Amino acid sequence: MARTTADATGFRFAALAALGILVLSPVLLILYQSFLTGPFFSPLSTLGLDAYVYIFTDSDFYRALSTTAIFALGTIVVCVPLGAILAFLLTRTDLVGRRWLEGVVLVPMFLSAIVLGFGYTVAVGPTGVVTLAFERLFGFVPWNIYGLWSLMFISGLMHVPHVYLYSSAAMRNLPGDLEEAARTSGAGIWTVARHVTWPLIMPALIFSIGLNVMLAFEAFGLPLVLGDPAGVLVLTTYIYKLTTILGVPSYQLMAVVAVVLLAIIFPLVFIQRKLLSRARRFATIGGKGARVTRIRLGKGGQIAAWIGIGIWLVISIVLPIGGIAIRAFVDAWGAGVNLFDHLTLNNFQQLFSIAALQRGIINTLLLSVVGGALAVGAYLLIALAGHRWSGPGNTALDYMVLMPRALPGLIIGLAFFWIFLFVPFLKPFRLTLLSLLIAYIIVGLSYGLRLIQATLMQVAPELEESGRSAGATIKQTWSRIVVPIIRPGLLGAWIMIMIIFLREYATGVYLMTNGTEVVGSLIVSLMASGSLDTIAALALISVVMTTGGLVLANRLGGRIHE
Amino acid sequence: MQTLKVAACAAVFQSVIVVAFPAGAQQAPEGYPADYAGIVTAGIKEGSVNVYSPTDSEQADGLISGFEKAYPGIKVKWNDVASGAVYNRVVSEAAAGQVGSDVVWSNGLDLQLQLVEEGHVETYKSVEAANIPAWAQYKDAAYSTTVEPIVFMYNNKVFTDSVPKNHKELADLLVKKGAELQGKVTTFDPEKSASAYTVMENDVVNDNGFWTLIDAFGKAKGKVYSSSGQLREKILSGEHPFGFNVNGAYAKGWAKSNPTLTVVYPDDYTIAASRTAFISKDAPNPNAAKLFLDYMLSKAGQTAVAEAGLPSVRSDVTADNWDSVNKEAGGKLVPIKLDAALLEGLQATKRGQFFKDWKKALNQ
Amino acid sequence: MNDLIVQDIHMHLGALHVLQGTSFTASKGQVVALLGASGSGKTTLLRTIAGLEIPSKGRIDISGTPVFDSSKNILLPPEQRNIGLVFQSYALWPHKTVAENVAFGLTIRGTNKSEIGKRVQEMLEKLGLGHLGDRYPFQLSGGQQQRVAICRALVYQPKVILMDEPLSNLDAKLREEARYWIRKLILELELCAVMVTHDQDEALAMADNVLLLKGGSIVQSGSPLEIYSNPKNRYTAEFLGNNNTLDGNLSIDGSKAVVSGETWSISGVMPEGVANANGKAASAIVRVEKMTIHDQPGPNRIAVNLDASIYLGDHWEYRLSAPGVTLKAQGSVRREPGNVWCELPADDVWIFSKAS
Repeated sequence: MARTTADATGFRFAALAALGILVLSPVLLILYQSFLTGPFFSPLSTLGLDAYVYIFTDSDFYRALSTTAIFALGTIVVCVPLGAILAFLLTRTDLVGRRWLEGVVLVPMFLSAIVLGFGYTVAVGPTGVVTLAFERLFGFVPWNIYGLWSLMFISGLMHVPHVYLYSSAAMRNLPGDLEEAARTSGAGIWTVARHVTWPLIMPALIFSIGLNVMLAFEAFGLPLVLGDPAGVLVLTTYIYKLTTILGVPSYQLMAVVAVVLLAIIFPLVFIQRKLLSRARRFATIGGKGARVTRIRLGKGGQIAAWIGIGIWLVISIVLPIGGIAIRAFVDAWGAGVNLFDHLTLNNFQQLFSIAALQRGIINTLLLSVVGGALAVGAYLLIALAGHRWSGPGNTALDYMVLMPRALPGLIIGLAFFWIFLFVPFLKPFRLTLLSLLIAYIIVGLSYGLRLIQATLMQVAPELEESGRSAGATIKQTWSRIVVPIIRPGLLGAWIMIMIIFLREYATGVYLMTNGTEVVGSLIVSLMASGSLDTIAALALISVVMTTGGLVLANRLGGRIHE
Repeated sequence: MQTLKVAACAAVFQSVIVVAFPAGAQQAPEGYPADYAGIVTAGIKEGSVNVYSPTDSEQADGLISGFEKAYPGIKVKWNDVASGAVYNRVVSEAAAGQVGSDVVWSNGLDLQLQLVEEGHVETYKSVEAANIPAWAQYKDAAYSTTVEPIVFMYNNKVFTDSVPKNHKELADLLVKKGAELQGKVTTFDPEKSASAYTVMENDVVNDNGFWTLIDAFGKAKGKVYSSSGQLREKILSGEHPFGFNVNGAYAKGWAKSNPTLTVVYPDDYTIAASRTAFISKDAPNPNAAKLFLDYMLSKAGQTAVAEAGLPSVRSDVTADNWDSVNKEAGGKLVPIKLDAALLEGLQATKRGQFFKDWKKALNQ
Repeated sequence: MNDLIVQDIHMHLGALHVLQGTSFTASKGQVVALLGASGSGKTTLLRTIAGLEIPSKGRIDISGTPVFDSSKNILLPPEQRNIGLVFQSYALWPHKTVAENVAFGLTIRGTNKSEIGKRVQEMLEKLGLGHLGDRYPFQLSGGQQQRVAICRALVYQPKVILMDEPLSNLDAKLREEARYWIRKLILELELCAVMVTHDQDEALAMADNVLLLKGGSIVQSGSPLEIYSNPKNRYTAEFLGNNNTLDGNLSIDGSKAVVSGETWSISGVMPEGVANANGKAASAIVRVEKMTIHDQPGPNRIAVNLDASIYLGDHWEYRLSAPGVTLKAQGSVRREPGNVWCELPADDVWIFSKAS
């Protein structure tokens, strides 16, 4: 028994079990639903493989599956190298303006994909502002934003911050002397990056690859806006079709596709674990924690780096947000329209006339700020439970972290709607923000938990061991030593989770109810009635607010990345 | 918790009522049977009414405030439920024994009737039923409340061809100038939007040339979208300057604020879609629900809805109504009747055939 | 020819002037030790030579090539300086095997594969690591890791090798061995070596030239013998060796300087020259091993009380005291406590005025 308390095994198992319940209950519900012939709550439903037969004999499914796989691959090919390069430039070199860039590179994460897609349409769509200007000047347009290629390209650029975030955290963690040793052995900057820095942050890169594969499989907004017009069908847009194709919503079919998505997790995490099995080679070596000397880029290097970053910034920030900003201030655009004739502030006035929107804004802020903090607290407990804990518990954790990411937000929202409806003691919470919060916590799990785990790994084991040897229990060591040390990292995770909660839209579609409206999901209903003016104004306000919050957090001393 | 809250609210309102109406009894609205006063009293006692609807609360604002004024003491709780989620929400809540809706108001006409058939709807003969056309009523349970013409809309700055005035002319134009019009025409996607499917089903009934149109549309690489918002934006920006099967109730408003947009009522036939309301079985506030449904169908309620841009089914409403829309449509307005045909459209075989034809026409 | 010239290097870290015009030279087959307390700027100086820190002013030449010259705006990045650097932490890349670690510098230089294999193996064998090429760094002992780090820095035959506290992570026995073989290796390969250390024994044992740094400047430099036995200033005198310090008042009699306390006076030499400090406070410093104990008075002897004799294995240490002074001395025999005289040979007593 003495051993048990010493290892906090009780706490570890309790936290793992709590996570298991949260993650597995929607997953198991969906799994069960996939083997039924109708809704699970209907007395007419029986067990059967009908849904699997339907899906696996539908040629559209295979088309969507293969397209999604190509889409995921393309996204990774674009975002992983770029994210890793960006992280290297910002953490390891003397790139001019890097302090400023640290915040800016996260901006592509601020917008929900669906809004982002519209931003692109307004900027560089067939009748976009930039497109028309280019055509006037040169007589032709060399791009087309619709189709698989542009979808992969744009999605890749959008996901650069995800890779950047995880790899820069790992790079900051890396003792500088490992790179200096390569420099003094005669290696140039890029050789150092290729041979030392990137291989050493392999765990972070591999996790980013896994996460981005899942994000691509789960992506809905971008494929809908940029893929659909060109007939590009991915699994999520395929699910969308399934809801109406049989007349009465056919959850068993959606569930089968969700199960397919879940199945992708297992080989992915397995490969990830295999690749990292010799993780000890990657473990951080004590290091003196000395000031890292930044690699000098030189004049040519600075220019080259800035050209690259500039192109990326223009494509992934200026174009979509510029598009949204323009849309927010005009009532017409496109071919044959002089934007200056259509300037208006009406779009913003409309915002204030909708009571549900005002509630929605308050709820969204509440969910992202307070709920985000609660989520980070939950992730911290889970991360601590898995911290320096070898064994099956950790394996389970690795799988469970990515699992919710495999499920489209709409389906997680639906599953939680049912759970809150049918689990007796949860009934009182269904009509409160708590149901949304729990769904959001699950949705944000793969982002937040991994950030906190990475931060925890930065705490040198000696610091914990010295706490233990000074007579502190493992829990005291955590609360008195570990948590205070990683406080900046927690702040960073909080801001990150806030951003994700702010822009989330699909999860709330089924869960929200009178009094628990959230902005993201209201956008979905506004879209149905065509109020894109209002959506643009709302999106612009949310970008400005998020940016403001980020700047403020930066001022207050929190760094996003640690 | 919710019931607790409701009870608390009711208690508060009760005391308010006692102050406001010392007599303790309610008058029935003018023209309503005398025993209606009992429903009013009971409804006020319930204190609130929960509405599930994809119509956003912005558009329902007049209706809500009108009702709350007519029945002080009853608060309208508007639930923004996405069109595809209404059915699920109702059946799930019923299965869990936690019905949350009093009134459900949705443009998914087929699924609304399906809910009636599945027994999720309370039979209630509205006191306004006599003022509502027969096509807009189903089994004394569901009532259509709006007239939303399905129209063509085009961008008059970009679309400079001779404008087709009906489905036939549109099909001809697409055949004749298919090459020029590549990717220039758009419509609502029946695969992703249930209401778009319902409309097209009626197209098939009303127009034996419909598949010719879709065929030509497919050949001209026409594009489909899943929401009115996307459709509007694409036509507005001139990316696809011409759209058919656009919801005219919205389109009229857009054209008013945007001279670039022009609405055409097809002169062969103009389908009138609608949104249908019913009272949920086991509604938590059954009396308030009746009051709300009746109010929606009343002259005052219909006026409020019409003034928000959704024309009324009643002819005695001075704002846009069936007659005025029908006049604009050259008398060719065809309503989507609440009848068995709608339910047939839900059958997998019928749908399967439609989508097979649809895909064949589109993927060429 | 000097393989390394460091000339008037200045460096600022914010408002801090961490290097204040440091200069020295080194040639092949020579070991220079940068000795100093922590914060003296010794590691920073080494890193400026490697190109890992950028000085604000000065000039550095390696093998006749200017790698840094603030007046001509020359600044070569570390990889172009052709140096070997051994880190205190060894900085072995944990994702590469021992052989891959060592091979890296050659790979970078485009050496062909078979040549790399040969030279890596030779280098590893020279340092007794021939059988460990396939291991990963974490599978090695500290001493082996250190030798890998040295192999890695030497395999591409740089002219200049820099070592940052190369021995500090080794245990005492290994350290003494390493002092010897590293120096031998450097002489054998005719390298020009610069090492940073805070350990005077290490500096004296390994270096041909010791530079003592304090606050970013060189306080004194010279051969180990010279710097140990001829300190030019009080800091050097006190930093090295075991010392006795006697505080008193200075009186100057011609070329002879005398420091007097309550009951004693000592004459000695003034390495900083005879300052105009007659009657001012001054200290006399003498190495412990130069003191001798006697039973009767004599020249430059002071009467003290022997408080205790402490046995230290190879010698005895005596604790002595006189009013206002405590002293240590050594001898080969045990002595009983009581009154004795201790002699401070006048040539070995350095007198520094208090102000310095």
